[in-house]
Amino acid sequence: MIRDITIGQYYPKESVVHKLDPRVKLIGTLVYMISMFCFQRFLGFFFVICFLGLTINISKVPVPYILKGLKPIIAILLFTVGINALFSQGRVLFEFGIIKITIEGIRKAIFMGIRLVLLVIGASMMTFTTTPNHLTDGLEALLKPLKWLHVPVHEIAMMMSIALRFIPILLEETDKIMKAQMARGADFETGNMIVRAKKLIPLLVPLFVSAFRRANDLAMAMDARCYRGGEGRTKMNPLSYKRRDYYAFCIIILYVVLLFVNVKYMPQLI
Amino acid sequence: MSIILDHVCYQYKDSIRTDEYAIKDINLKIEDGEFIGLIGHTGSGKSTLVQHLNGLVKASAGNIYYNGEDIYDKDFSMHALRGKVGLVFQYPEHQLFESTVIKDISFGPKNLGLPPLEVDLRSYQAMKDVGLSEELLDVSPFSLSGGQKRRVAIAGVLAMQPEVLILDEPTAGLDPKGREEILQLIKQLRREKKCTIILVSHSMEDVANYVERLIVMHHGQVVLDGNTRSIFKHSDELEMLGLAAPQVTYIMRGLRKKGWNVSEDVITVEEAKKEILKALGKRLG
Amino acid sequence: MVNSKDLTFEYIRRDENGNVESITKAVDGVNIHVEPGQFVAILGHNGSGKSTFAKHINALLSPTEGSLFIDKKDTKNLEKLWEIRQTAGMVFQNPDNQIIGNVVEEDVGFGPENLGIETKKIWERVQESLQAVDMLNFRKHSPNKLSGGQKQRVAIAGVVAMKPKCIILDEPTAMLDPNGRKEVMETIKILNQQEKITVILITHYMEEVVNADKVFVMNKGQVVMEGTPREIFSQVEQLKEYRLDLPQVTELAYELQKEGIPLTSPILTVEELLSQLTP
Repeated sequence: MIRDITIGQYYPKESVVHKLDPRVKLIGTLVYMISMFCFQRFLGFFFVICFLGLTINISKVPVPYILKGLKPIIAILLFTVGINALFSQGRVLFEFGIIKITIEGIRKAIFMGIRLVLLVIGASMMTFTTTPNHLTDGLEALLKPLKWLHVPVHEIAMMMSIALRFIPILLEETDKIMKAQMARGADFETGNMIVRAKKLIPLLVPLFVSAFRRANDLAMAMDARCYRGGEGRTKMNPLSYKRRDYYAFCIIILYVVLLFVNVKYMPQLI
Repeated sequence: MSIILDHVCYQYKDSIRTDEYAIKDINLKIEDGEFIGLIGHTGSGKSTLVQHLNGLVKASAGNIYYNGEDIYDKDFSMHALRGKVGLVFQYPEHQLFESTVIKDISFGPKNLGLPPLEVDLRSYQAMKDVGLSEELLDVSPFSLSGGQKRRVAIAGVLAMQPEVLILDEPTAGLDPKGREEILQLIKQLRREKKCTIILVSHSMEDVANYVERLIVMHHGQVVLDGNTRSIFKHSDELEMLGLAAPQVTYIMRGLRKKGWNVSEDVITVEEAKKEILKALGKRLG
Repeated sequence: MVNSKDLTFEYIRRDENGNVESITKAVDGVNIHVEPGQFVAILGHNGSGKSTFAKHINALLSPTEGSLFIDKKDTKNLEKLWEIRQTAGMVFQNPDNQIIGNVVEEDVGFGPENLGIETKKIWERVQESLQAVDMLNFRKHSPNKLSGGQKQRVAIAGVVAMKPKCIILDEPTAMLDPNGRKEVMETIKILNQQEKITVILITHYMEEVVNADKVFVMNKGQVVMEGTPREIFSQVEQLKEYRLDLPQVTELAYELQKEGIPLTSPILTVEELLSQLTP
């Protein structure tokens, strides 16, 4: 059921990718994502897939597990592919009433589909290999300059980390409450949008009540463990760049250069 | 009336390993009016099993018959089944959502599509059945005590007037007082409503005094099934499964080992006392 | 270690205009004294005030009247607040709602991080604490994948890592199954005996207090009984009055005694009863 969503979850494994400094992974992911929008040709994917494949291979995260994470986006994927396939101008391949399928449309649809899948896999590779705490540490460090603008960077990072911890718990709880209400004859599946939204009340009210109760408990537990904000707090995993991080930066730069050369100078093959 | 489970298996969807079963090859017949304890530790599959009985979870293999009708049949109404097999979840107070106690209780009967008068009648009756006073009728369920909330939640299922009532760990998280009150309530419901009751629990001591038949689950399978007393004779096996028999059964076993002629068929303190006094009497006289 | 003097705590309920609507005395004149290294249990059913009292030890609540000293530090003294919380760590009932980290070892390190301990020392403490609760093999796991008993042991490790002199456990087993309860109780016993940490266990399970050095029974906010487990368990009628359920063996022995069978009371274990019945 709902709890099978793997996207955004940490996948524990001992690997170099897991050990990399989260800042490297954050920058790497950002570069990777931006790079995806810098080319319009299929050849570009070659480098992207090489880079991604290398990362997956080193990270030792099993491929089926990664693919499982794609499930929740299937709907969005189909929508994107569908829209692109149906509403593109160009050479008409065949017509069916008002629907026109064009060669450009199909090309674009496939292109967008691959791009979306690679984007999601790339982003989830970061969460698979980085514990949420590490991730927030990384974000906190990268966003530190914002402190000068009075942005509560530490607090935001802590909030993110806690949210990530409780997402699976709340999903499981949603599943449970839903079943419990269904056992009382509730029906979440039929009716139009408004009727359905109304039917969600028996699910949402208990969920909110529970979330508040948990928040209250957690706040007390944090108090009891002497949490008092970011001041005077030391880090269990202070961030410091190691040799492997510099290597990783080199690979990222190499990737960018290769992609750039490809886009700029390679003949327009595909 | 009966429920029959025929080779029922359930596998989590998307499970990577194909040999992982939440429940495996369950064959059971539950007769009308039985009072059953379903025992097993966390992860033994007992909760998954009971969710099959009202169709919340669909078996990956096998069939379930309710009064002879296949519940997976196209024409079978799952909605009606949920009204007939009432399931009270673990920590049921967490599903309360309405602004008043009575509104919350009538959520179930309303969903069954009953006329308003019938809904009201059933809800009041259910409230009375669980021992909630009428003053609480228009009180917000969130302002009640833990034990009261649980009663409201149980009433919410009772109001559907199910033929089979399943309670998943109804005493979890309660103190001895609350525990006893809820168990007494179930016993009383059983006496008055005469419906089939399935009590899911991991506490042998709790259910021993109440139920007539015990089904013990382990690793998704039924390992013991029978009359309560006969099950407690397997105390070694129970221990291996991480389930202890009531303390008195160990006392009786200990005494037998030392050559006392006492019955092992003992599950309550009262019975143990009688047996020991009898044995002592014989010894002295 | 813990010293309360006439500790009283009132919950004040106010209406919308801030006027006092009602006052409930959750804790009423409690005097509890705990020596360093002791294993003390506080028994009582829900609403007896035992959890409210527990929250005072960790300075999560401050007494309305009377006083409470933890290791000679007054809990009313706000300057000592963090010292007190470090001295007296607290484990709560719901294992899910007190684990902050997304990986076991990160959660255990949360406390020491807050105390500003240097990185190398934090890791040493995490290692030691996880070892103490026998969860070292799970250090890289996500807390969501653990059983209830294991989660609770992680929560205990998280407190142990702060090197407290005293740990208060507020119904740590109430939401666990028998296996989980056994695990947690064994862990608590080891901490008390081997790590010499003072333990204050709040519970409503009578079986769990059999090994305590001292037991307090609370009812309606007051301490109504006090003594060794043997002294407490011998007062069967009184315990029943406070709606606490006795271990079956104690109850059976008590019933047999009433029938004139000579047994030295109270009997707490099956072995004791067997050896007395069959000399």
